[in-house]
Amino acid sequence: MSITGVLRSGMMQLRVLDLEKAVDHYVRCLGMTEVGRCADSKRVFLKCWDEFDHHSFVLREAETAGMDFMGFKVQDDAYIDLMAEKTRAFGLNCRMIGANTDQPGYGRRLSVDLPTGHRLDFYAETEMATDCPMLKNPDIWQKTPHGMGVSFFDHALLYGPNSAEAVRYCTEVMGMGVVEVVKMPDGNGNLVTWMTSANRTHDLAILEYDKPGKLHHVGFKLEDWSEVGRAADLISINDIALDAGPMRHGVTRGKTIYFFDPSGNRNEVFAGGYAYYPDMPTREWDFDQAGKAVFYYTRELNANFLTVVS
Amino acid sequence: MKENSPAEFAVSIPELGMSFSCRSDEYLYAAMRRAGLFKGGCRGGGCGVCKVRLLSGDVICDLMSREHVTREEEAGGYILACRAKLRSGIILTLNS
Repeated sequence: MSITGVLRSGMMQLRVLDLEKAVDHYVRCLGMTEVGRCADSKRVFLKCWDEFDHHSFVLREAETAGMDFMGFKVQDDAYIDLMAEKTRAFGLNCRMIGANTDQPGYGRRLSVDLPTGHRLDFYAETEMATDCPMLKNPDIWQKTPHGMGVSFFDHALLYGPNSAEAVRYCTEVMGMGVVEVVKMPDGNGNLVTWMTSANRTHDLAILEYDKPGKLHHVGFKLEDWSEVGRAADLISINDIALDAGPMRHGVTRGKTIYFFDPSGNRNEVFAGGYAYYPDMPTREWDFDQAGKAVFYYTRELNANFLTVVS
Repeated sequence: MKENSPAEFAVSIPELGMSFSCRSDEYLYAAMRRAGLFKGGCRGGGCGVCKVRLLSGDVICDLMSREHVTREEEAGGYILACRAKLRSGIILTLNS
């Protein structure tokens, strides 16, 4: 299959209140690996076991929790200039960030301000990680995954105003496909939109919300239901704050569990979900079916899952 | 040899006419949840849903997101219950 242009979501920088507690959570519990730290040790670079890129997840110690930015990988360096041109024509602010500056092992990036208050960065070049999947006669893994064994950084659900315009940027400029939506209560427009650059159920989802720049959750991939169950065990053993699950979504069909990191950022680890192709029509949920869309078995929305964001 | 048990402190919320206990080794959030006052929240200081105001008493707070409790607010008694451990009996209000 040919994926061109914007290829996939690839990285995120997340704000945390206590850096060492966060590192312990994402490394020991989720199963990521520490790749390095920046000189002032206020940021730590992490990656998941099944990723090739230098790092995919950055923790930055800060006074507030939440997402700094999310990164998408594009087909080549020249495409970044085309993205800049199309972004300015669309009417959004953007700027270039130099190679190997704040993100070691990353080439130059185009940083875009979405109308929802979020920042998306686009990059093409990354150094290959030292600890990455084998390329020659590859075993499943070289080092046995630990903790929950998250295989890669998959997606995020972002909350903010002007979601329709942000979705328009994602589809018209980024070329994303709209996979699934939940309609607004009055049926006019979409409350939540799930979009992909490739063939996941989503790389990015956006929900219409009054406050800008909010993160509902960051999602990481697991292999199957038993790994989701194992994650649930580890959540209880490690006294991690459970949010929802283990359960299944109607939207995306994902098998999933949600919990909070020590700074209150919501995490998801999930398995499954259907494969999306660009020739597929968009699936729709009426708002009065939102309970089933999110909680496929218990079918009741709860305020905590909907409203708690960082 | 008898191990030291954690101290138990009284929590009072006058506007609700509520009074319950909270151990020194647990976060205030846990005691308030047992009393039926909270159901969710991130329990990590990041979302702000458990913001309350201390009217009297002594607590020690872990790091709280400054988006939800600024330094000025903290000086005025505002805390996130999920980050606070009691050092004395307290009186608090939910009207934040």
